[in-house]
Amino acid sequence: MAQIEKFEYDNTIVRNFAVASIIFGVVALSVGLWIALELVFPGLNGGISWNSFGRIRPLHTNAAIFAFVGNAIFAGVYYSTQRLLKARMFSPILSQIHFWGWQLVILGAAITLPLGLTSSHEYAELEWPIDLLITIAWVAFGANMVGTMIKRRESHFYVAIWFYISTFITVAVLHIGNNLEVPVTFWKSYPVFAGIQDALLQWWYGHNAVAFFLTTPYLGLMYYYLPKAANRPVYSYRLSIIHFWTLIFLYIWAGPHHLLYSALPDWTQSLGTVFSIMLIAPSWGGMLNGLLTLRGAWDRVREDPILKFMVVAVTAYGMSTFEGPMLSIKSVNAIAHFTDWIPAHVHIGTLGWNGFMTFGMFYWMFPRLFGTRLYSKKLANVHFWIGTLGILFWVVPMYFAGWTQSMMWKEFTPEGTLKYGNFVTTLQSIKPMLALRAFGGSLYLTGALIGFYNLMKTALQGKLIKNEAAQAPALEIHPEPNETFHRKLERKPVPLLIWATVAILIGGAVEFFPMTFMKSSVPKIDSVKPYTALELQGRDIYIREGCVSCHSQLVRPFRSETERYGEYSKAGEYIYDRPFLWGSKRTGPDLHRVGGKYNDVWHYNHMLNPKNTESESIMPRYPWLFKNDLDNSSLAAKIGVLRKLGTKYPEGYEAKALAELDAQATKVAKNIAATVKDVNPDNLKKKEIVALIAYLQRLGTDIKAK
Amino acid sequence: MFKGMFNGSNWAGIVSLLIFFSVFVIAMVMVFMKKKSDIDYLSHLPLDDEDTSENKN
Repeated sequence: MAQIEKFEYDNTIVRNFAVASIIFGVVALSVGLWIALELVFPGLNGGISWNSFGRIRPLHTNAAIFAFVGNAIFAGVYYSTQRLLKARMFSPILSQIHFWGWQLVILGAAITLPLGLTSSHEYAELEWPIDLLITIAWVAFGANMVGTMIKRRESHFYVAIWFYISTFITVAVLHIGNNLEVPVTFWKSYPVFAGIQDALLQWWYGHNAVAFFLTTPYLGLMYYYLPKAANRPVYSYRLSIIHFWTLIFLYIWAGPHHLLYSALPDWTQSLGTVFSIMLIAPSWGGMLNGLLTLRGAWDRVREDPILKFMVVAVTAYGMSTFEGPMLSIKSVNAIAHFTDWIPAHVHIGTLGWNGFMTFGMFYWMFPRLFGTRLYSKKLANVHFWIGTLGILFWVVPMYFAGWTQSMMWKEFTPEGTLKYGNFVTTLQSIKPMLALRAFGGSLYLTGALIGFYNLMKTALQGKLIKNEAAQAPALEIHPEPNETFHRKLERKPVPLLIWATVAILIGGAVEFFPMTFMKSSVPKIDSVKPYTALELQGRDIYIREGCVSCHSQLVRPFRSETERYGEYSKAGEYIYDRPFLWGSKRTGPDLHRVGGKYNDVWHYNHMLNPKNTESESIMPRYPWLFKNDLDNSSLAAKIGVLRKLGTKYPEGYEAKALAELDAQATKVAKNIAATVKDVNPDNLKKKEIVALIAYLQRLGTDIKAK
Repeated sequence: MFKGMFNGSNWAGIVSLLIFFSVFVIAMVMVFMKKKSDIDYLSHLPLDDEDTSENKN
């Protein structure tokens, strides 16, 4: 028998991450409610740039994913890892670097995103200096985890640890892959890949950020905290192993289901579809394993709010992972994509799975961290029911809105014309649903505030057990004769890390390398030329304002879309698009063929106040574009970087770009001044609005017959 | 017959199904080769530490 060793668990780092999660949870939900209200009352942005929907929406998503959920993951992982490995965290310094580095990232996001400093890659909007900071914090996390695994006292790793390891390694790979960018200035960069390759890379990242940031760590947490809360082992440990390997292997292939009917090659779309459908097997295996853990304990679910939260969380995981494969079927995707169905699907996952598992975990954890009882079980029950109602009021109207709007987009008259040719008519029909969604959000936020109060009162009535005493036999490994490969793997951190890495790299590599290195993947179109200097500046304003949050630039090959928008989009049209701007939601119409559809004056009036051109529009006003002078200080650097990346700007273009920009701006400004009263073209041509109009007028015109 | 099968984009679906099937079978074989005593030991690991709260459940 090995000697019994005494040691202490570090609860301070767990408490720090938990408190950060709760505070940022309230912030993320409040910002979410605010932008939901901005869609109902567009005037709420007050004509203030940093308060407009396009800039604040990524703040909400980043706060929810990385601040609320991210901090909750770290709290849960630090607590459970120490206990499963019977060891204190490897390095308190690494814990501190991880914690403060992560909070600094959040602070950076909170400042830069409202300022419009964004890469525009969804869920990876932060610019390169913050990306580097994320890398430091993430490496500190990984080193701390691996170090703790090495100095552990438990011979074999429980399945939760495997999920944590796969999270660490995959997020690292995704973060590097999707942030391959070349800096232009301290707060501006361009991605290395353009167009469809950038799109594939982004949704390989985007989908797997959901998989490996919002799913695998939470599955690890489920496999630890659900048995703890239910006080019984997981239903089937064998199933959990199958769940782990098949899930991490399959997930990474599924990204292209975000790009069905796009300009992406068919074979890539097919891979995405098939792997997504097959994902239901491991996902439901995991969900059933979680729910069946409660076999014989269902009577306790009626009484215990912690188990209630966890049961709804696991059920939401099951619903979400049923819906995901469904949405990957092309015929279903054709209806759902770009509609409110997608945010509904996403919020079943975040509010139900992540949010409720987090609350359940904290209600279980806080009494143990502070050596006390939960302040109020009654309040926890109130939180549970308000939160559940909040989820329902959020998602049900959005499912309804998605279906309604999609059907209206596709409806033709007997004469063969679009029945709802004006996009705004379809938007009008779902306005009540947008209001109901905001109501659902306010319920969920109210529940979270009650939870915040309950947890803080719990903390205040107890005292943090900073260093929790524990004891365990020293680690002694006695390999058994005829030990299987997997049995060996379960006690070797580095080989486990390597095999998990191999499992997650295969799918990404098979999809991405042929797309990148086979020229036939992107058929060239001779008429497609680089953006002019003014259009390039306008495009960067489009990116800054987050127009991609509400407008797609991808006309799918459906009659209902080609009738509404024009010719369907081709891969070769995007070869100079860094980043790609296909978008994932149409709160407003697609813009890929908007060039030349309206005149410059229409755009001028529309951006000044969208109600000037469409009385029912919910688009915000952009008055600052009419006041701000266009900043051309980094134009030459932008052109230089883009040329290095493959954009065919002639050598020396930098020297004449400003003159060319001025000539094009003058032309646009004169067009407007000829119609709009009191506009001085010499003044107007210097303004940002002119660059944006030039960009919009260019969109989709490369392949239009002149 | 096989030539037709791999024409167009269908190959992607077939290959992905085969890959999934292989990974699933390998995982199943690995799991069912494990001893019951090992499985029981591992599945009880989360329940193996002291409870510091006053409301033990």
